[in-house]
Amino acid sequence: MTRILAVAACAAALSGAAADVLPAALETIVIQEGGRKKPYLVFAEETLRSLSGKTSLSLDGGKRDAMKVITGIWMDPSRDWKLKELILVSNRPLKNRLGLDPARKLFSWDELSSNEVLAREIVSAAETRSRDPRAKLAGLQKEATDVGLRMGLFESLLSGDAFRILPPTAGSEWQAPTANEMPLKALRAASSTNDQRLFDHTVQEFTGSVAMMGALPSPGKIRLEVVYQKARPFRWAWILYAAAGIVLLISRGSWERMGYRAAWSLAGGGFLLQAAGLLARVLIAGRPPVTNMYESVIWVAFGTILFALIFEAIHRAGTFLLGAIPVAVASLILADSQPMILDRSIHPLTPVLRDNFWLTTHVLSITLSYAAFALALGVAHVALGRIIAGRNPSETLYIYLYKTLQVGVLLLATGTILGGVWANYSWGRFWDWDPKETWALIALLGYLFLLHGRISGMWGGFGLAIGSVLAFLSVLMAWYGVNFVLGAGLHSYGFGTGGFPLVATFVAFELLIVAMAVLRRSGRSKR
Amino acid sequence: MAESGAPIPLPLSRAGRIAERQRRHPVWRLIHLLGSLKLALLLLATIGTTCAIATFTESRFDAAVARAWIYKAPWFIAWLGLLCVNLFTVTLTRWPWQKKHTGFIITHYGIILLLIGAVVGSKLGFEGNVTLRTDGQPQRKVITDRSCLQVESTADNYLYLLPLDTRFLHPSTNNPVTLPVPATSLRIGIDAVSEHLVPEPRIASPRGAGIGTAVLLEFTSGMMSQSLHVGLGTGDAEPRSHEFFGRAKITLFGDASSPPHHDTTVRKPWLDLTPGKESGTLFYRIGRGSSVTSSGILKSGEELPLGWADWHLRLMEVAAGKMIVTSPTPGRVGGVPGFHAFLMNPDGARGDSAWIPSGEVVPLTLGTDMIRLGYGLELKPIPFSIALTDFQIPRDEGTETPSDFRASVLFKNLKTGREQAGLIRMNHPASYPGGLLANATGLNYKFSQAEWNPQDLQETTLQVLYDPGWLLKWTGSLAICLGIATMFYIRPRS
Repeated sequence: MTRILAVAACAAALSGAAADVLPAALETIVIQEGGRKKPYLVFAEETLRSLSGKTSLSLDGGKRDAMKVITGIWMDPSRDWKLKELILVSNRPLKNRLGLDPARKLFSWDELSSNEVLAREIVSAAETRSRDPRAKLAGLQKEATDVGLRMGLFESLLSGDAFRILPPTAGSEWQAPTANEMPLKALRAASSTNDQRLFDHTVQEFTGSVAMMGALPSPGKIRLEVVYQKARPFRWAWILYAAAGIVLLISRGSWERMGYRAAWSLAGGGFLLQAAGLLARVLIAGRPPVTNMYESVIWVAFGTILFALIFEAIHRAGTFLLGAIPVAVASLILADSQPMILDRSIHPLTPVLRDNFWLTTHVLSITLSYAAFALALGVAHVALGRIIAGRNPSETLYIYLYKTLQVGVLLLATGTILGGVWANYSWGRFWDWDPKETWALIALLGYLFLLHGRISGMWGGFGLAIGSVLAFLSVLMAWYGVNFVLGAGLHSYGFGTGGFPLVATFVAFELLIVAMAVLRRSGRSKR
Repeated sequence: MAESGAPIPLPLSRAGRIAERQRRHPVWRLIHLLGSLKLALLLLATIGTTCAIATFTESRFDAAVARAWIYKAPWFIAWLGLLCVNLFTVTLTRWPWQKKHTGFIITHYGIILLLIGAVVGSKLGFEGNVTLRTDGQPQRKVITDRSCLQVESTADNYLYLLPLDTRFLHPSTNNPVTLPVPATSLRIGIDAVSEHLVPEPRIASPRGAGIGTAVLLEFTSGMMSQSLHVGLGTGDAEPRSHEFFGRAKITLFGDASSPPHHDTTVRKPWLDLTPGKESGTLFYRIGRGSSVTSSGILKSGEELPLGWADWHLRLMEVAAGKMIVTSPTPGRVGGVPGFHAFLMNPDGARGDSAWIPSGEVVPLTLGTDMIRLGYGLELKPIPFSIALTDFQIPRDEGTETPSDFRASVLFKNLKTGREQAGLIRMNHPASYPGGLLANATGLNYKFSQAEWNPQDLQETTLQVLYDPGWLLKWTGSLAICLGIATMFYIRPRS
């Protein structure tokens, strides 16, 4: 791997552009940013994503990845970077307000810094903040502030202040080398003359002397993060899951047994990859992997497959995998394709959450319950799909559905109560009707309603399937809605914006399935 | 289910016996009705829906409204009470219990225990907060989150505390809310409430010495659609100057003969006023830094552009031998909450009324009767003192983001004088008196980090909890989780 990259870097160096000198050793240089130390590669990708919303750009007539773009700015800040379209402005109302071309997403620093309306919006937002530091910015003010932050990030890249690679002799704040300081002076000299050997040598010497100061995380941890960043385990996981799903669907008749085995292997492989990815995140961050929306989406996909594999190991039905795979694949594709809504970078936690025991028990059981309910949703999809296709689902399928719901109810009840116990222990109140906890309760009541109605015989398997779909909407509200739609309450560390059209489409799709199944069934019973 | 019309076989099956007692005995019939699955479904559905509505209410209005209208409303509490009845009676309907009912009974009783724990906690316990400074005095009281009325009656000189929250009163002049004054036949009438009581100046006739000239000014801005009343007086106890939004300074001088020198380094606008020679007039000088931009005589009722954006000055009144007093008046923004009250006797006679702002004690009289009223968050004494000895805020490396809050405190038993140190970190509260028994029962004061002040790093606010329902809640919680697991996954061998 290293050799291939080195060859690629040499080839790039030969192409003549100064910024293309990129030895692999640069990837593992440690840089302090966002409250933690991380490899340079991760810094470059996160920084370009914050700046442009992407991890690669077309620049100078070719596609350039984050390492090239960010290192290019660092090595040669005097180039015409201010004219390059690097800064993301995605909000359409803001673009209209600023008189920017609504079809474009990226703008140059010059275009934005000369925009007086933008400057006014940013100043008015800053005034709101200075009057009340806790004020929540909304609408254009927030969007303009985001653009302002990106411009600030661009300036700190241009000035070199963002590249904090020098550990301090005292204190904890790392410094960025100035143009006259080593190693930047030597790196720039090597870069400007395309001297690959000098560049490599400087990076190595520098890494060695920093390591002497003993301020670095272990090299193994840094290398793990680089591997994790490059390997994209979650992308490969969904590809394997999708393959497993296709195999399950197409294998019929005499192929069915073999197909089921193949699907098991594919799904199992994807599951192991996903487990490895999650483990890497745990090792890098030193905490359970469920602290923001991105992580919880990955984790729920993981849990859905986990429960499906457990049930498959017991019942060998195929239905669990068939139900789980679409849910898991959709979640993982979403996490992979929406970096601006689901932020994949690893951040330090707010103090409130820094307790691994409670965080693990409370959040993991809540999110695992979401996973079980997602599996129930998947199994309900299989049942309703059969009804829509004109067939009758077996009673066994409904029993499977009931068992899946039981897992979810136990985990959600446990997780919600653990949240209360954590709050009671850490802050005082056991229950405070905070929207997040209230919605967890509403979801729990919804599923209890579903199970009690089934026990009393008020509805049968079909009602259970319809209910599993509808009740999942309350899970969605507790999971996504409270943080992104209501935006109130104490669980504010998970707040975010965006993704509403996606979620609305999902809800509409689910309601459509329910409506079609109900119509189909009532049509049949009339006949 | 056994059909009631069918002949009953002997000996009766379990289901048969249950149906039989239900048919024969009205108490059993009631138990089966209250413990029915249909009622359970109704309760689950209504409680769920209500909570959903409440969260949207909270999002649109605020948490206090959702709390008052729904979560803490009597009908919601009653509904939860009915849930408890349903949970209890449903376990009776399964009588005589069998092994397979273990998980079912544990779960349902667990929920009841949890709810009882919540009631015990909110009735017998309290929550509050206390703000401490590293260089401050030890505190012996905490501020609870409950607003209350403090009534001091001259009849018995006792101090009575009555819970009262003006946000949820809706009185009017014709329809006042009345409260009894303890130990008397008098009543307190409340005919208006305001969330924004601001001190409004007015000119009053003086009592006593040290009186000068009182001036009442009005500043208006058409652009900002605002007006502001400012009262200045030359008397000993009155304000002589006013900082106009921190941007300009207005000063009243007793004597025009020695015009003051303004600081030349600060180029801040100012307005100097002195009583005019004719009564009812003022001599004014407007300037910026050391330069005077205009001066002249202003008569009562006259308006004057100040040259401070579009702000105008109007002289409302100037009076010699009088003084400026302020009284709370309802405004549109800022200020403190409060209410407008008067005393009433059983015959319906009313005394003088007054606004009672939060944080002040105001006397109310009716004839010879007098009471003193205070309004604000209830202070609760604690049987020990707490002092902050050190407060540290570690940061995430290379940033200003706090990674933890560490408050070192010193508890002191007021009876024995024994001191006990404690450390409060995020997620790690300190308890007093602490120890296994106190921790287990919740008969314990627990202090946890609540808020910090970025402007003053010597100060921290701690949340205080005294919760005797703690053990019930924890037992109930454990029972629910174990009960569900037993019910779903442990099948007794039949």
